[in-house]
Amino acid sequence: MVPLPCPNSSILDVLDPERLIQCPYNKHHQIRACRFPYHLVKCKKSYPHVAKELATCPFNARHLVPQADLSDHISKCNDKGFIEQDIVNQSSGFQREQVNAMSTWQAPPCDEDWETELLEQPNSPFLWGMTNSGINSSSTTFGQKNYLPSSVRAPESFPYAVSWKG
Amino acid sequence: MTGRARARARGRPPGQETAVPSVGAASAQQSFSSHPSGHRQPQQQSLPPTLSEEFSGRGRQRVPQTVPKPRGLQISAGFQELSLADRGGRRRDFHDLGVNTRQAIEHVRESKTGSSGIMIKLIANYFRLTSRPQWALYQYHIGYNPEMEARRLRSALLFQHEELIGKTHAFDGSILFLPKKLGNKVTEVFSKTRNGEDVKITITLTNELPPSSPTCLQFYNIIFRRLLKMMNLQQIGRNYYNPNDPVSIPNHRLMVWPGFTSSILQYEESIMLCADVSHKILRSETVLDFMYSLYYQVEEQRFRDACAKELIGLIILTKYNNRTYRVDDIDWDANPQCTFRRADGSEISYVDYYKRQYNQEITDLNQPVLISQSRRKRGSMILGPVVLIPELCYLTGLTEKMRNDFNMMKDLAIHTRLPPERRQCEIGRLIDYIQKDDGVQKELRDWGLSFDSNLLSFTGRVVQAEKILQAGKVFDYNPQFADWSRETRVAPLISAKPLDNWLLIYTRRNYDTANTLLQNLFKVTPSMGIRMNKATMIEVDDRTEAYLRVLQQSITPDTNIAVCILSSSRKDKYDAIKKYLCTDCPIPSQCVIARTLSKPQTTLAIATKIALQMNCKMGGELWSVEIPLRQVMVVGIDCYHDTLAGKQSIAGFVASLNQTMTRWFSRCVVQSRGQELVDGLKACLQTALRDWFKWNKYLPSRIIVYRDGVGDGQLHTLVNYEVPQFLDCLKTVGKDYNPKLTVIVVKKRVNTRFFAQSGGGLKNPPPGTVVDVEVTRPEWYDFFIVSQAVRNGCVAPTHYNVIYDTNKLKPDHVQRLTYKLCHMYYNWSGVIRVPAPCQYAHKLAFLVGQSIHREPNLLLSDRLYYL
Repeated sequence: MVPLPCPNSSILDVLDPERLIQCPYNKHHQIRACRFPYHLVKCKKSYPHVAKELATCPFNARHLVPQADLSDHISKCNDKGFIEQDIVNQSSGFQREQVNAMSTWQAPPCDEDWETELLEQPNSPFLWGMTNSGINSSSTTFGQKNYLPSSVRAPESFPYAVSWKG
Repeated sequence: MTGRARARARGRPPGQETAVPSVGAASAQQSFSSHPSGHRQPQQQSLPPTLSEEFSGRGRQRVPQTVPKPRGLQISAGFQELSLADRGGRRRDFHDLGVNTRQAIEHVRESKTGSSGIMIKLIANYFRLTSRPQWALYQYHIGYNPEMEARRLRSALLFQHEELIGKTHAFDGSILFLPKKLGNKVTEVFSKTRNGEDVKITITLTNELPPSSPTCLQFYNIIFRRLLKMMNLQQIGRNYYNPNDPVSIPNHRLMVWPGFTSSILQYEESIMLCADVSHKILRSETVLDFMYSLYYQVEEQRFRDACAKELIGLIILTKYNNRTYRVDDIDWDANPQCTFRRADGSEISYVDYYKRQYNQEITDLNQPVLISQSRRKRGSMILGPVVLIPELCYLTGLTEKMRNDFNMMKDLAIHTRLPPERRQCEIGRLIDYIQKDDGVQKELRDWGLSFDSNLLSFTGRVVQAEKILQAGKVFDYNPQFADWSRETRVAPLISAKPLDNWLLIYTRRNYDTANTLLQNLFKVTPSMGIRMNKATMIEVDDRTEAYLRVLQQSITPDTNIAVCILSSSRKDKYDAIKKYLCTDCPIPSQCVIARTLSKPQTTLAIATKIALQMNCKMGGELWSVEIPLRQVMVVGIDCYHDTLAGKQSIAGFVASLNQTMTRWFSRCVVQSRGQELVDGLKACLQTALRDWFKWNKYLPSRIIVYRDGVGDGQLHTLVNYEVPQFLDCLKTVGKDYNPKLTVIVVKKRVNTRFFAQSGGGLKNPPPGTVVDVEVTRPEWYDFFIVSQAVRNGCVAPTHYNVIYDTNKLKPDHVQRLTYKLCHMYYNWSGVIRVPAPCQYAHKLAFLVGQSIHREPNLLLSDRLYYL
């Protein structure tokens, strides 16, 4: 028998939409949890100087902390569990995933090719082969059989420095 | 002063905040100790109709809406902040005005229209609003010296000068709109109060507004609301209903009020009124009737709990003033003879109050009272709870039980699901009312406005139907039906997962059903290519614990799937099984209600469906369509809320794992109650990318996000809160990783309807109809697609709004990709209303929100276990 979910009071409290949270831009702002994201967007505009100093937590976009405190916050963040479950899963779930591999089915070649059409667009800002030049740059590489953009480094681990095990 | 405070100060004379009436019912008072409202004074009851329209600038500071083609006069910036206050002063801007996302998307600034497909003549439920050339609206500021507080007094003083101002005007206490220009920029006049006090009124012209200015749009909506009131339509929620023309369905004790939903906005080419029919379903049963019938059904000691369970959260209508309230609580200690203190300080009982105020007789003096917490806020003041008498409250809407009553829904559908021609007719009636009502015509004429009498007609496109790819075969389907269940019935699936080792769990009573299911699965699986062994058959007692014990004992690491036959649709058993198999012991599961297998003539079809669904849950793949893009990852997001039950919100996140979009990764985020925006997108996308890499050995170079479940008025925050999360996440993956991102907001609940002209009549437009002209918004990169086919009633198009786009795909390709994705939902061998990732995300969020309540085990995350 699985134990029935017992309402954990502390968890309920965290999820209470009426709970007041202090705004990271102005400590005099006490915001109801349910309105918090809306308020953040608004205050970010009103306090551009403060906004520059703040960093967003990778686990929860509500958590804005001074940039210097980010690593400290990350190590303590309550929402870290969200990623941790995933990490645990990485090690234990390997075998199962092997069994459940993707099918080998290959789709027949498409009649159309939108990528090529895109390149043929007269005013296309695409520059084939150009990478790393801002958001508009293209890392698409056509014709390469493995489709692997040459300059892309695959993330083997997460980019932020978190000590998962510790 | 903050923007809001400034706007408030301008919109309303000082002191107004403290004297706001609450309409319709008595406020709860000190007599109930349980409700801490003692510090508030009771409210005066009736709200004079003249005060119910206001131009006050309460609400969020608005970015001025810049229509791409600025015409006419310059508008001074300050007044563009003005926002329309709906009745009740809710802060939301339902139309997402002023979110100008198209401007930032360079490649669609000139044109956002697609090109492929066959032209089709369409009619939409829009009417053009026309004004004479050179029309302008004149806005004046009215100042009083000495300062006058009360808005009614201010109006009365001003309109002593009707010869100057004219009969046509709109005034909210400090801002006056007139259709004409006064002789001078500043006019000073003198009025006398009843006490003989002289008041100097200064009328200053502040603005000359061209027809398309944002303030004008608010003004049109206010005027239109005035017209609806003149036509005796009753506002409920956002819509207007006609209580004088109800349709009664006596055998189900239901009543349907016909009504309209309407809004006037700036669309692509012109300002138009979008009008659609709406129906309010009322039950000819009061809350008191309901309580009595419940009393006879349950034991005495459970009665109060049962009442609370059934009633709290329901919307009720009070016929004496035709207003709706939500039941938040039941006060069993009070009764209609309790008293409350009125604004003037006198004590009055509810019985007397309702007698005097509304001429309503309360007969049952022992009934409890209902409490409705007012959700509206007036300025800084929160209105107190409202006390309602069950006997005077009528139930509205349908209960779950009623929805499941096939016959009732069928009878109701006759009145509410209108086929295209009847719908057009009903919408036309609104314009008829407008044209025929002299008062309405006069009002419009005085303002110099009029409506087209014909519905908007224009040309849309029907894009090509897709080819359905299965293993070794390509199918065409009949685009008219948007369904290929027949065509693909005997074809092998793209990827069939074997059923080598699986459980079939049933109760003794369902032994035969289980065997029939097994036999039929043996019949249907070979043609699909599914290898199947006989199931491990396990008989259990019909108790939740028995099911769980069997699962605990019998599941081994090799178990493919557990199939449970349930004897009833009782939710707790289902929830417990799903919870166990999605979290503690992560394997796919399939629950089947015995009744669905009971009809001999459909068992084979049902078995086919179950086999397909089981295959998907185990990681199988059914079919695909051509995706002429490479390295593209498609993401779907949807939210689940159950605010009534006070449960947490769940955001479902689904991302494709392969080129053919046949496999999907999923995660979900548990959030606080009622939250619609997602906080944890960064982590979701991060894990999705990592999984993508594991499967493909490269990262996607294009990411296309379909975001469903965005409420009206949240677009601005979505653009500034969720899009940065995606961008941040992509930045952190690697220095050289610059994938392109497109974010598309998907909206199913739109009032837009399209009708296709065929021969002399009107039909639903065929699946694949794309509309990106006329009824779209100039400030957005948006389009409509009708992707599904419906058997009866009118098809509802889905609205897509591209809010961020660095992929720079042609609009035509974005539209077609979206349509292609509507073909990829494996629980339905046909085209659905939204792209498959949205539907998957919805399914996931629903399962977690309803049954599991926490994030499922990630071992399942690459399969469609939530189908």
